[in-house]
Amino acid sequence: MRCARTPTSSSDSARIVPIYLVCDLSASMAAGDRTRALHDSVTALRDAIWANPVVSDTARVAVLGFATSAWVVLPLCDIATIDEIPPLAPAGLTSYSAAFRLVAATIEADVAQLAADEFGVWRPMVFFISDGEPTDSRSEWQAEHRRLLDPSLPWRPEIVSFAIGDANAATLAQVATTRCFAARSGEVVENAIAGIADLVIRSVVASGTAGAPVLPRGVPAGFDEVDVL
Amino acid sequence: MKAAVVHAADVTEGDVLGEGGQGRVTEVRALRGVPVRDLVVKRYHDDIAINPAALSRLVAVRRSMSEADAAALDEVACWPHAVLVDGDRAVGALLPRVPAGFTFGLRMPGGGSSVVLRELQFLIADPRSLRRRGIEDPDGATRLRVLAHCTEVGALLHRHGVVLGDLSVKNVLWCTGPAVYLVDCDGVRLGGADPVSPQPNSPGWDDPLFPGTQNQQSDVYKTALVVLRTAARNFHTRDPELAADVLGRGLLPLLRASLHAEPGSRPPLRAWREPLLRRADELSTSTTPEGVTGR
Repeated sequence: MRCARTPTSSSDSARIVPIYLVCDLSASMAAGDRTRALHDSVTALRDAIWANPVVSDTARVAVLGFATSAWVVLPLCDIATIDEIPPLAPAGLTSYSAAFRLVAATIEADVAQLAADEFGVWRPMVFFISDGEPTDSRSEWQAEHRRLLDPSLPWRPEIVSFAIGDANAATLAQVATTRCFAARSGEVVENAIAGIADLVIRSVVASGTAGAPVLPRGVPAGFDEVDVL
Repeated sequence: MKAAVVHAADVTEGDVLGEGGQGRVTEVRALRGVPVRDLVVKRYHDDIAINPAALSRLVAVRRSMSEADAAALDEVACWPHAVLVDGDRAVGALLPRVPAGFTFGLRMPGGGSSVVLRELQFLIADPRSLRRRGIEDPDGATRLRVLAHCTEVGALLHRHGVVLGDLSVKNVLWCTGPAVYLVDCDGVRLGGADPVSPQPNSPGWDDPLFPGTQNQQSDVYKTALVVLRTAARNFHTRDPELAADVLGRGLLPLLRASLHAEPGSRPPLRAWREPLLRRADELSTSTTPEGVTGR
């Protein structure tokens, strides 16, 4: 899939805000309407940017999925240019290692491409959503997590994490660098996804409008905020 | 609406129209059971500290105006009509609904259309971005006439001692009438008074000379940014040269002075209207093709 890139216009342009939605697409996400809720959320994000051309100017969004492996659902782009959001097909285990490895590689390639296109770039924002505990070993995913956040990397991301379904809030609190939110016990996962979408959309619109990363205040409906570890 | 203070229990609310960093805006269906139209209620988030006295002053200023002046204010600004109280606490404001002329139906990618506010961003966005979305892109002369009206609205409010405070792509609405309508007016200041709630500068719209405060001089700077960015079709620039072709050499000194001079010597907002309209007339009669300065 090809995504439109805004041509370099002047040295006065704002820096690009790269935003990555990293979604757990393990088999458990096949339950109920979870993937449809996720797909609807990405579509709603696309529509919000469509209605805000200022956001198209600086915000670039990518969608990554992970299960036993990880893959790029939608490469970094002005998501308003995407007519159809690709399907999200859940299957397999929950490898956080695969997710962090792909996020790191994707960010590295995207930042290099943006630099080649003569854009300035802010540190990326990652929204990490999981509905279950990682099935790979703690030492393995923590090693990939450390590599992703290596302080010597200028483009290491800031991570906001969301625990939904059977995910353990304490685990997601280790994934986040800025804020972590855990769905309340009994919260319907589809509703929780809608709550996440609301925060992500507000964050992307605010970031694109400001031309710099912005994470709005507040906690998504049905969630509690958890201290980042 | 007659009362300057309205109790939350007397308000029948309808659909949520929007939610921002400060509060939630909902349509008002009825007041004390009597159906009303064209009113909305803004309820501040619990963690937003508002200044009830400042909100009451805004309401009182409009009420103290002659009918004609109040009508003129209502034409250009979404000014609070009443304070919303819950018990003995001010929790929000009743505001007029944005007039339909400042909204438009946006065709959505998945089909159907959505009513959106005609924000300044739709005047600044580059032609390609607008074309892709099927949004009207007014010609250069019309755009300058909208800008002339924008500076006129600012000058009108300055005459009443108002500090606009924050200007951005989201809180200035426009139509090709030409007309401009300011929203988020609870961020304005009267004279030297504090605003209803601390209104930070929108990122990228700050006046470097007044990073921590807002006054009529910073309004002049921000209005110049509105003119520059609209003329240059660039959301972030502060470089007057990017607007040179559209504004013409005659307007550039005014733009530069508004952006860079010592604040005390910045020209007043009323200095903009006539030169902008003259330049609009020049563009109307010019044979220069549109878009020569577009990106």
